[in-house]
Amino acid sequence: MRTFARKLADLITGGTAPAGNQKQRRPRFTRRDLIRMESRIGGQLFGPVPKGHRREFFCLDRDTWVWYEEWIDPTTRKRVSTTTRYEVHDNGVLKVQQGQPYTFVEGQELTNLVWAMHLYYEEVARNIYGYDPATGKPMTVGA
Amino acid sequence: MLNTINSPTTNPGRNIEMWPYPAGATESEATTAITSDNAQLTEEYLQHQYAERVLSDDVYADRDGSGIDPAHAEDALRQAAEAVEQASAEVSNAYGTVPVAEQFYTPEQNRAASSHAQIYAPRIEDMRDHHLSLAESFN
Repeated sequence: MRTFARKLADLITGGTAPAGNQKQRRPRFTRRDLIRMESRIGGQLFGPVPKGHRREFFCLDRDTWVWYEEWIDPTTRKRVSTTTRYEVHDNGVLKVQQGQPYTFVEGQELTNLVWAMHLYYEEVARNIYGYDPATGKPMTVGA
Repeated sequence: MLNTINSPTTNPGRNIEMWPYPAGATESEATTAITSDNAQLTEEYLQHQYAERVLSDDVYADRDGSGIDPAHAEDALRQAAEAVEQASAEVSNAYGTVPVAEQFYTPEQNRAASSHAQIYAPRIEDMRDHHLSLAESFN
């Protein structure tokens, strides 16, 4: 759980910069960079993000998807956020939210979630990794 | 309808709390779903009760051991069918006609969607790994 929280916090806040190497920008992406790029695509899959909201939706690892939403509460003017973790198990997709009982996602919500995963895969395959999502093979220039 | 009447599996004691409803449903959606569950269970219960009463009294009594009179049995079944229709009407009047089938996904549909959810993350992780290993090899 702590590992998940640390991974998530790093992704959302940008994490702490690694000590040393401050002078030199690394030319290649880390896994975290890739996930943050994917997340920008993921956050747009559910329609327009309301003004003042920040939405992230991304695949964290082989079994976990995360929905993060952040906004300013209009009454308190404080920043509030919710994080929903979707754990994919053999027997279903478990939805985990702070302060809420764990539930298996079902029905329309599950259909919508799977559809979002599908779109996410298609978009990141094409636009970040240059893969044809239908064949799973690299797209060739001019093809 | 006769299948319903003769079904030995009718279980009016089934716990409605265990029936699934969409996890993301709002309170009113969940309430509607549970109400429609109630309606269906109540209908089943009434069918069961009517069927039990009519069948046990008229068809299965055979108290003198002379066998069941087919004409008598047919009449009893007709009465049972009417009773079931009456029960359905009572339930509809009491709860309205919420299309239960549209409120829920079957367990099979949920299983199929869940197994679909397992496809994408490993593919994405493979693309990440491949991308990172390519970048590594260029350095």
